[in-house]
Amino acid sequence: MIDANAYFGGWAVRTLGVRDPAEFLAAMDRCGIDVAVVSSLKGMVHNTRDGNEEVIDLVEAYPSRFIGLCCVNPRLGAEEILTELDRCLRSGLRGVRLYPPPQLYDLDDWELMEPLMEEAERRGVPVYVTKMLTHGIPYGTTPFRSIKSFVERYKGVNIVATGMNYRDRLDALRLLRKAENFYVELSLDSGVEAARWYVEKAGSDRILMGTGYCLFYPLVGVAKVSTARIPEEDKRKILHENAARLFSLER
Amino acid sequence: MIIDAHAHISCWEELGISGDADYVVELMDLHGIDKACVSDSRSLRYDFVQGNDGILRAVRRYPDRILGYVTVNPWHGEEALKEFRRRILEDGMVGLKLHVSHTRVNYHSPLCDPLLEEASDLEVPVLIHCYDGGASADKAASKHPRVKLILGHMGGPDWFDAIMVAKRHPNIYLEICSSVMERGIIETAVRHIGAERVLFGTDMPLLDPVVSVYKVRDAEITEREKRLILGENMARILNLEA
Repeated sequence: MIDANAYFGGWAVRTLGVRDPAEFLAAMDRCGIDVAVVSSLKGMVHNTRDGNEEVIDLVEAYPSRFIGLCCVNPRLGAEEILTELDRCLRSGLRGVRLYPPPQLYDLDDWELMEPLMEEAERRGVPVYVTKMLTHGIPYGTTPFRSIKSFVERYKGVNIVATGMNYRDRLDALRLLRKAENFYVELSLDSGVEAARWYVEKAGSDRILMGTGYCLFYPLVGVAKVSTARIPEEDKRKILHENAARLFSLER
Repeated sequence: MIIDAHAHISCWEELGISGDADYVVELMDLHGIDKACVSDSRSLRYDFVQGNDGILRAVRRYPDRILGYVTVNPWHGEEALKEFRRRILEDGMVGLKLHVSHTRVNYHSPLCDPLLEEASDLEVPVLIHCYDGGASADKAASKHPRVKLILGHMGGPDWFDAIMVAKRHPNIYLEICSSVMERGIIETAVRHIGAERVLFGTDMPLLDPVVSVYKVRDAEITEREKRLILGENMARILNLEA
């Protein structure tokens, strides 16, 4: 089972952060998760380079358990972010994580985004876009309209939207039907029967199970899919196969 | 026994989500929920008498599974009070639901005083939509110390404030359903006020019962505490046999 969206490291809000790999792995083992796709919370809201360093260390220590995403802030300039992306990918990270509101840029600022997305396409790595981290946390929300424009513009890059709630479903459904490079990850969707809703309306090929651990109770994310009223074949795709395909993992 | 203290029979057309009594019972069966206390979104967003009629039909269709909350708009004064009393005494509904966001009446408002006093006299709980950290409930509980006040969504993002409010008022209960799914919410509530005043609720069919069920199952608390939260506390409040 692959957790397609997890967060690692310190966190200023309450005591949610998990900096200890052993604690993180224990939570994964308890939930039956083999591999977690992780982003650094520090990289998302404070310092991209330092945050990426945490994730590189984690992936180097446990290469069979973690897939790391590289946080970049396009506002820092093309040269700097391409250098950082290159460093991270050479160090074993396998995708990109964007969270525009705390880093003070717009996802549809094409002048900023073009160099990064050209490079992501050239290297064939997925790009994760964060709509929001969690409810009530003051780091802001990426407008869905800009996610839609972004997905439609960069058709050659697989783009995963995280932090989508039930309020986003109808918009996400339209985009899933239009754009084959668009993926929806479920950890923040607290609405009723999320997996079944998407599978019945858009199929299961681009839906991903995520837990949002260390921010959320990890078992919730797993149970949303494992208890869902959908065929076993669809569960396998959401729990494992889609993420494996996205990151070119061997089965 | 698992009792859902916060559910609906509802339609949210703008979200593509809806659920009648049959659907709610399907979800209950799927997640092992024995009984659910429900209100109707029509009561909250349109006409409370029509909504309460819908709840009564659901209760009569599933008398062993569905329990009804009466919803009223406090702005309607004596009419609201009569509706509340009639639904409890004549229709067998089990509690009152108030929602500040739709009626723009804070729970400590004088407009709510007659309803909260009546709930105290009738000895039925009042479920309130609570996303302000319990600020209004704090004042309401001070004015009405006999009423069993259930803070739906546990105060929202400022849930720790709601826990502190509950700590001050033994007549306040915290109900856990929410899109705020932060790890540690349940454990923190239990640590500060004990498991006896924490209640399982789902907000289905808007939210997924799986969220609340697995928040409790994944929480680092004892099995006895989980049983209290999942059903025994609400059974005690409603005088049901566990």
